[in-house]
Amino acid sequence: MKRTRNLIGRSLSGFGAGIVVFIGIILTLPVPSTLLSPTEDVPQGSFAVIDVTVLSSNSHLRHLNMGYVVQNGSAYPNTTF
Amino acid sequence: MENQFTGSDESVLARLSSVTHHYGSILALDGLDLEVRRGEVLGVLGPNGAGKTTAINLLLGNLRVQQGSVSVFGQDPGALQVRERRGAMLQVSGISGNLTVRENIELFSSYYPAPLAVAKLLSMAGLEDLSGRRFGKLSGGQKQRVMFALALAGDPELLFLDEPTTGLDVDARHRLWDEIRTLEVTAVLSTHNMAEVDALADRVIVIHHGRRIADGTPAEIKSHAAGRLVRCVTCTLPDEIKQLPGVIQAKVRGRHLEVQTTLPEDLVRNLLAQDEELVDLTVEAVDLENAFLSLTKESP
Amino acid sequence: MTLDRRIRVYLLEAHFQFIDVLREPLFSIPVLAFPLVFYLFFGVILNFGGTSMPMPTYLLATYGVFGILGPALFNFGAGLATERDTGVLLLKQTTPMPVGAYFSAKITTALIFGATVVSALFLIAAYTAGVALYRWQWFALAGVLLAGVVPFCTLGLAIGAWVKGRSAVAIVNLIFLPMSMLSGLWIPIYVFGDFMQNMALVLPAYHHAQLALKVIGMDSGQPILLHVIVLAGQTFIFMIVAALGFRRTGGFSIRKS
Repeated sequence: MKRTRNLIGRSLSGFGAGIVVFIGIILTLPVPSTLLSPTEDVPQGSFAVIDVTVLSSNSHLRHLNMGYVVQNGSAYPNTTF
Repeated sequence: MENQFTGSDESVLARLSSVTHHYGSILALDGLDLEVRRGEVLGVLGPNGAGKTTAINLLLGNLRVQQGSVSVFGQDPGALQVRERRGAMLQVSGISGNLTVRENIELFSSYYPAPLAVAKLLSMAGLEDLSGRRFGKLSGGQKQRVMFALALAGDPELLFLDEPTTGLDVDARHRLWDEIRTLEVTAVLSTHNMAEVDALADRVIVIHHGRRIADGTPAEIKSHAAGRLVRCVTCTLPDEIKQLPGVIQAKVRGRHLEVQTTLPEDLVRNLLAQDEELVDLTVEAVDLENAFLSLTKESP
Repeated sequence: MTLDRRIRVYLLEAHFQFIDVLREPLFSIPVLAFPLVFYLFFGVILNFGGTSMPMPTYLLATYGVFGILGPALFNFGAGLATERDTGVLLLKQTTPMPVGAYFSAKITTALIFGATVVSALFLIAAYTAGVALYRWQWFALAGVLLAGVVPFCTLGLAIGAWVKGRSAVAIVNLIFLPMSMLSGLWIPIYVFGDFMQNMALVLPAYHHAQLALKVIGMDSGQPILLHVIVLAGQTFIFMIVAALGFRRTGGFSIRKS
């Protein structure tokens, strides 16, 4: 019985430590420094302006191009791969 | 009929009544009756495919009852209260191979309301020296002892042992028998091994083609499988030799005459004297299947 | 069963299932290493554009999905099929273990592996590729990625309920790898042609990836609701497929011979 309790304790503390480490890692990750960040210049909402129908994939390309033209001031090469 | 299960008889821990079970079109159990009384080790003996494992799985609640009724501790066999009071050693090829013996036992112990101490389980199954070894690295006999410990984890009142020593060598088998024998628990033991029921069971039922064909003490059942089986192609008829000393039974199967006898030398001398053209003579140990066939009326 | 005991069983089942899988190098190494190595190669090394280019950010989301998909599919698909075939499931079914403890342990194990891959990917992205996101985006991305455990575990469950233990790993791979590729987890979906992009609409990993990309504003622009509805519908379908599979095998785990 005592051993089982130890096991529970170890298990719970391991699980708890894992969550703490996970959140800790996220808390230490870098955030964009002002102006230079791609995600900062373009508000999320701007993407919704482009009308994208569900089955039209060409509009995905256009959408992405436009997104990054706005962001970086130069055309984003969407066929890198 | 119903009263039988709901309860007056405290000494019966588990019962199958007129249970018939099919797998598709295959008949596994055919109106089987069986009861397990408190304190006994009941051997369920039968050749492979006789329906032993099906009977055990019905008693464990692993299979849905198709016809007839099944009760354990007077309840549905799958009920939680039933599962807490029984243990089972099944034909399982492996549990978590990367966990140690101790870890596997700790895990199974956690399932029960009043488990035996892990140290006690390790010693009951003779696993003290192996507690830190991973299950996957154990020998067959050692693995079966772990399965045995898992079956005992909840300190069961009723234990199911389904072919516990299948595939073990003689040493490992005897070792496990010794451990089972030291228990004082009601148990159902299914096996196709006559020696196993002889070593462990108080009472035996024999099933064949899903039916109970015999019931008795191990000694009584064993007498059916005594002697040797003599087989030959001859014109001598079974009736002519049934009176000879030592002959248990004689019958024709296909082209062969088959005789079970405790005095094979006498019989063979006799047969050769009666028919000079006798051919294809063999003398072999009586296997269980042959012994059981002699108990069924349908044998050809 | 008292609540206290129930919690203990759930906890220990998860504890030991996790340890069991962790000690299995054939599971833990590929599941942990593949997304990280692939991301390093495609997202970081092949990215010649400097540190603040979007490709490492884009691929962080999709390799995150890849990293969640692997443990969920393998632990459930292959793990379940193997444990059914060896008879462990049957044995556990005869004990008082609640069936829920077994499944929640599988989900927890997939979550822990998934969270490990995600945090490692985040660290690699941040410190080798210079990816920077708002704090809420880091958290939201992690949350969306981990939530993928739900549809992917049910997909694994559906596979595990039908296939034999011996062929389970191969079959899971046959679904895992093509689906990852076709959902745009390895290389962005928009480099594929129209046909391939439309095909991807049936794949759960595509929709999950789109949700993850939404957090960083790089998705294809379809509404969130579409992805959520498709994923929820597929989760439901996988559960039905799994239930049918269990029924076919005669319940939770009985082997027919």
